[in-house]
Amino acid sequence: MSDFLPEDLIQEILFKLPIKSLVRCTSLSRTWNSLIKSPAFISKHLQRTISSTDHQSLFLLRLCSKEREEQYSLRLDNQDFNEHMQLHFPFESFESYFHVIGSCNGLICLAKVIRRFTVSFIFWNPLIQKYVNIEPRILGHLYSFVGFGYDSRANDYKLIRMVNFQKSKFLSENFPKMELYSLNEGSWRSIPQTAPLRYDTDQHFSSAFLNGVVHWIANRADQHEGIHNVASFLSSVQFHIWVMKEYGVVESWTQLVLTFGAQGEGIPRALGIRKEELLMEKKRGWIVSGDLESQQVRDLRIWGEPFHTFTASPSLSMLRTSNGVSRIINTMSTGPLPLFVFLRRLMGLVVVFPSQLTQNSDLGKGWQAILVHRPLAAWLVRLSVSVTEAFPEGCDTVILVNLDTYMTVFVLSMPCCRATGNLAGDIIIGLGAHLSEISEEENILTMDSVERVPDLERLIGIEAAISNRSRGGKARVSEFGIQIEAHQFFIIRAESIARE
Amino acid sequence: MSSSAENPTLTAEITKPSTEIATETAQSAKKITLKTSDDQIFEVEESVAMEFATVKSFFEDAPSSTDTVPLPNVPAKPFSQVIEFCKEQIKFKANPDETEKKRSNSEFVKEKTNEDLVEMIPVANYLEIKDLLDVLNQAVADRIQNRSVEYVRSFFGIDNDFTSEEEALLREEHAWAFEDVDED
Repeated sequence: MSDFLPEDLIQEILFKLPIKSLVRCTSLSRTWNSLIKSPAFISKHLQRTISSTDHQSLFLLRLCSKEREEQYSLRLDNQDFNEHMQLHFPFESFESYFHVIGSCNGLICLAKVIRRFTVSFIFWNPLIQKYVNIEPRILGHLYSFVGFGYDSRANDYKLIRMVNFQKSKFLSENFPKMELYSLNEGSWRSIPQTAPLRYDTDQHFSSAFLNGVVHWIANRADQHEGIHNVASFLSSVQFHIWVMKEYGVVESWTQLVLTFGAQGEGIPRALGIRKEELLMEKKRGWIVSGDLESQQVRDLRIWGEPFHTFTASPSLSMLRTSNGVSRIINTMSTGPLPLFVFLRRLMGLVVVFPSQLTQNSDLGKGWQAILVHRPLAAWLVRLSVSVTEAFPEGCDTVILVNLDTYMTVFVLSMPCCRATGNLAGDIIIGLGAHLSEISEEENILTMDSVERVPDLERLIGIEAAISNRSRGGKARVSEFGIQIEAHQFFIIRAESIARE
Repeated sequence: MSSSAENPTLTAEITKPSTEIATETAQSAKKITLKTSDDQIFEVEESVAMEFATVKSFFEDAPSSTDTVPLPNVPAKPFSQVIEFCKEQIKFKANPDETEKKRSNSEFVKEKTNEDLVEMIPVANYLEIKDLLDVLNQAVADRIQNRSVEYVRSFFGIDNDFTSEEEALLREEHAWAFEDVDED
């Protein structure tokens, strides 16, 4: 270790170093490297940072420009939120800004949402510039329960999702799927649902992680009155803030009121609370602070939209992580084999997918669904078919392969889709297409077996094509069902494909 | 590379061979006799010696002992500097003034060499002087935090056992951490 000092004394010095120096110290020697990267050290370092008396509480601030640039910075917890440091943001927004799910011990959890569906999650430790990209196993609507937090017993960061598939003609009532991602394990795990979920949420990612528990704002599913924003249309604005003074004690909910003049600027959006202060965003993105005691509103001279505040502590978590995509292990999958290996072995095919984001699911009856996320230049070599030729760039593609018959079917969706499993022998593909953007003309599907779904009330053409290219056949489609405001389900009858 | 010898006025007040000290301080408080690993005898005031948790518990076990307390892990040179620190500290016990205490602590470490600091750490640890250990660890951290890997290696006497390829890879992985480092 050191010629002069034993390891336990060295550790005490290391705890006092800033994150940047600590990361540099991993290249001192092998012993120092494994000491600093050890989970025990990282966890002890975190405990020390949190319990330290001169531990600075920091706020994470996200500012978005019109040019779709996201700037993240850490701000000091002082009166004016002075900037502590700018963070290097390594991700590219595809269609909209990232959603911030939460932040815990300096780790930030982001969600990438395309057309109201979450296509990936990111765990990001900006201070050590490490991140991991996590593909969800369940296609989840924006309005599902998502929570991020730290499991102090397992020294692990976890992401929990509860996707409530709304009542459907095809599915039984209350069909929530729960899954949990563990950073240590690097994989998703399904959580069996033992009781029906009686709650919905109409909030985008509104979870709060406190005392080791994830909290959500929820509505009783059987009561249609949700939480409504009460706004006064007079010249003043009133915010009612409910505070649970004693954690877990329902009787301790206390109401605080902030009233101030609106000055014709509309109603500000509440962003967060710190001490006796409510932070709000005014109409044009300016951030103001309202003092709950003096009822005074003060301009913070910070501009940005939207704005998130989270407390953050410098942490070494994820120091061992290599940046990139998390391993995808699907419980339904034949294993985390790279796609081209998978196909070559079974079909003599070589598929070259530059995109890492592939996923295969066993759908039963010999069918495998392979998801390719935005294939930019993918080729099925033996068949000389370019996926990009067949379908526009940037769309997710699901390829269905029957391992018994070698039948290959392409399904295209805009702009994200997932093969989610099977239902009574049929393949379900959840489509993330936006309803308003699909015209009747684009409906190129034939409806062979519509009668097999007796209650199908609405058929909306989804820009999707299924073609049996391996047999040179024309595109044949079974049928699909649509769910409004949740998944759009595309159901393919395995039997009807096999008949072709 | 300062030693107690380079600081004659200061150390003379604190540490003197027991024979001389006896006459000078006959009227003052009770003295405790301590023997370092290199067989030097130190006589320190009881109030100062009670700052050393290790020594304090020795007397808690044997309250009436007048024996010399052996300090087998403590060499004389860093020990004299530790005594210097504790003498300052007890002033703040009667008269707590956090600003002045901080100033005094930073003054104390400022004039110490890297070697002084590193030598005092095991002594402060053995004698269980928490405040001093904190001050020393912070001082060492302050001295190395913006320094290059090579500087830190020589500071702690670390042998680099990485191959040049491995080291280059590590630097590449965390390139940002190697930017804006102070010149050696």
